[in-house]
Amino acid sequence: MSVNIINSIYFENFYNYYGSYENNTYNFKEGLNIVVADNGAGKSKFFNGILWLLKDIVYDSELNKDDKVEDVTFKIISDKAKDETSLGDSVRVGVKLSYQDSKFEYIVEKYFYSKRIEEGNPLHEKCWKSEAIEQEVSKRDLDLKTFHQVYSLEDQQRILDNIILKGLQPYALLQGEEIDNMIDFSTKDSLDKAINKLTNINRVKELVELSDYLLRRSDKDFDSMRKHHTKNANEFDEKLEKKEELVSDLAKNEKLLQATIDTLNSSKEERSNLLNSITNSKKRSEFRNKISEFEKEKLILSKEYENLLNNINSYFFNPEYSWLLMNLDGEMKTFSNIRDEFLEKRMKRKLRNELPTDIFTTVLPDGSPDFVSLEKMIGQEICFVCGREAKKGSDEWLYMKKVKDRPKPDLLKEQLSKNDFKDFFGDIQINAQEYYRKIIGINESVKQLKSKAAKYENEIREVLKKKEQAGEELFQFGGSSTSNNEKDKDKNILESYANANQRIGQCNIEIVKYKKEIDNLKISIDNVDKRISELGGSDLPKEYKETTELLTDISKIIGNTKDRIFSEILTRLETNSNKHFQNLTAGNNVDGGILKLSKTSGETVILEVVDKSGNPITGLSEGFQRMKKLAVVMAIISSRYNKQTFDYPLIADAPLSAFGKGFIEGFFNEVPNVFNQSIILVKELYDKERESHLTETGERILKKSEIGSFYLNEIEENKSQIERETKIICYK
Amino acid sequence: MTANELFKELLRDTIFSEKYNFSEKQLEKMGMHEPSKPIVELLKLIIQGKENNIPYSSIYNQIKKFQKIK
Repeated sequence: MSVNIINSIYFENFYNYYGSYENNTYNFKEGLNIVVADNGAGKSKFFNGILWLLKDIVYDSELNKDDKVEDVTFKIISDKAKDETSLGDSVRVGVKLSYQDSKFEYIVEKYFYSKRIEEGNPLHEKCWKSEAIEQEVSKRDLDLKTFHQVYSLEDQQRILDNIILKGLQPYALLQGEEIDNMIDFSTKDSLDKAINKLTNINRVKELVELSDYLLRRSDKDFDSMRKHHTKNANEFDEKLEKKEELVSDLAKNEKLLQATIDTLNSSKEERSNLLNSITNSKKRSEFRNKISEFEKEKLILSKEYENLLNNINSYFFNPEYSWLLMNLDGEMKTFSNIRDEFLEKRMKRKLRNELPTDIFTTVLPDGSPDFVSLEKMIGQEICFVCGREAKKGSDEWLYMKKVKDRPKPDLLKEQLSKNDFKDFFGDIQINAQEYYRKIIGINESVKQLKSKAAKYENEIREVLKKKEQAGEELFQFGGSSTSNNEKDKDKNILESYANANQRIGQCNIEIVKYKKEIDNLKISIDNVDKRISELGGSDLPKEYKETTELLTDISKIIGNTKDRIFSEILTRLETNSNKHFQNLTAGNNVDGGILKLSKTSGETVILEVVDKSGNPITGLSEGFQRMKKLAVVMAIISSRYNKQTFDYPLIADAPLSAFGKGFIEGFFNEVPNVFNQSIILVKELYDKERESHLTETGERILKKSEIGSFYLNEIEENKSQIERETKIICYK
Repeated sequence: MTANELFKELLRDTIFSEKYNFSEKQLEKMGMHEPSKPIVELLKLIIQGKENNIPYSSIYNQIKKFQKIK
């Protein structure tokens, strides 16, 4: 079987893909092909183009439903194209895809024309009339250049269906959350179905069904022949009737046993899933509480910070801080200098007025230092102003005494002229003294306030960061900080868990009962069979017996082979699942455990996650749960008989949003190992703040050799919807 | 899995050596087109019948014919 590769996809006036095919072309290669696009930049529209070609539908993400393209032709026309089409003109809308297998290259196209039939708002449906959808298919031999039209509708459909076979589409066309639907581990036969679909085990299962039929027919013929040769027809009939009754009872009991085993398995599976949910729900609750605590903490800090900012005004007028006097320290010095100058001039005038020479004058303001302090200074022989020693009789001591004995201000004032400002200036200097000390401290208090504000900002940032981390962890455990239904959902989990446990107990009792009944019926059938043989007579043609014996053996051979192949598949599947699981989750610090696949007595495959000692691991995040499914699907593909890769392209729209950040690189590393070609539409590698508009991871992936092609979809955000168009930038 | 691959898988069952006395070498060489003992011939009929989508009842009639049952 050959491998299909999509070479190119073209869009024409399809949603945001405005303009002709030439302007909206993606060329892909074997390997990993990536289209990076932010929300609204055309990822889902691209996927819808594929859906149109393969299934004649498009997915409406707003209404969460599939629409037939023929019912929504108006919706899928580019708004910009609608706006630019004049009355009476038509717009062509289409999707074209080129793919090849080992012999041919095919071009498939679906398109339609829509005519503007009314003036008015072009975005109103009534202004448009669409023609029927057309389909064109052509092909060429890979050794030749010319494409030839394929006219037969049957051949066209076969070529369209062959892009990705219908049965395999659930594993090759993934849209966001659809990964959850690929394998639903809560459904007992979901994994079996996936294994059957992707491997050839079904062929053996069909042989089992056929050999059972042949044995039943041969058995019936054998009994009928024995009846024909018996010498005691009455007893033979009676025993045959008895045997049929017993066989019917046996079938009933086997059916009941199977149903009970199925219920047991599904209950066990449900309990196991609920166990995960219980752990997850506990974790969710823990992180929800954390988020709530951080929100409270942030609120308190924000309030305090707000108060601090609101109170800044009071620092200007509060005597303790006196910010109003900020930067006036220079003025104080200037004042002191002016006063000194004044005193000097005054002294000169005093001399001119021939004041008595023995009158003591000082630059200190009147009354400072005060009389009592001076007496103490003289007595203790220390200058309180400078703190230096002034021994009795020394110059310093004598000076202090002179200051103490200076004439009273009033006397001096009398001796000087009227309107003398000496005291006035002195008072200012003394009174300003207290503020001067404050002025010096203003810069420091401003600095302190700034640092206090910065501290609040840091603390708020820190709390928000912690809240964001808790939110991310909540998401890892399948939670959302905005959902209100989660609490109720978590409450129901315990109840369901108890019910599942009760069912398991009941089933175990019933299984023992049915098994015992089945054993008894088998013994009874053997006994009746023996008697039938005895009654059958000795002249029975040997071919009948021989055929029944041969078909009995063949039935056993086929049954054993089915079990053996299934068991071998499971072993391969388990090994490969673990290989893929480890690679897919390599970017995570948390150990995802080991995947263990086992077959139950009811032909059902059960998947468990265990630790190195074989103990079940529960409470893995949603990201891990999804990677577990993807690993198993990849393993099913790579465990197939004589085939380890997928023959059809994988096309995935936003698969990473369902996985979580920690799995991005693992996903891109592992996908090429299983899918010959993959086209991944992703937003997680987009970063509009960076020059390349790619995240660091995106740039790293771009450099990898396994990349077949790498595109970036851009859309001008500031433009209205009617002007928007997706621009395709090819990085590789 | 082709019909021949399926046939080879079925021949791996121990019943062929234990009950029908085939040697390992015989089983290895055995193909879909070489004649063999009835157990193998019936097996081929079943595989080919299924491969060619022949109705179950017709396959049973072919077996009866092979076993000379009237």
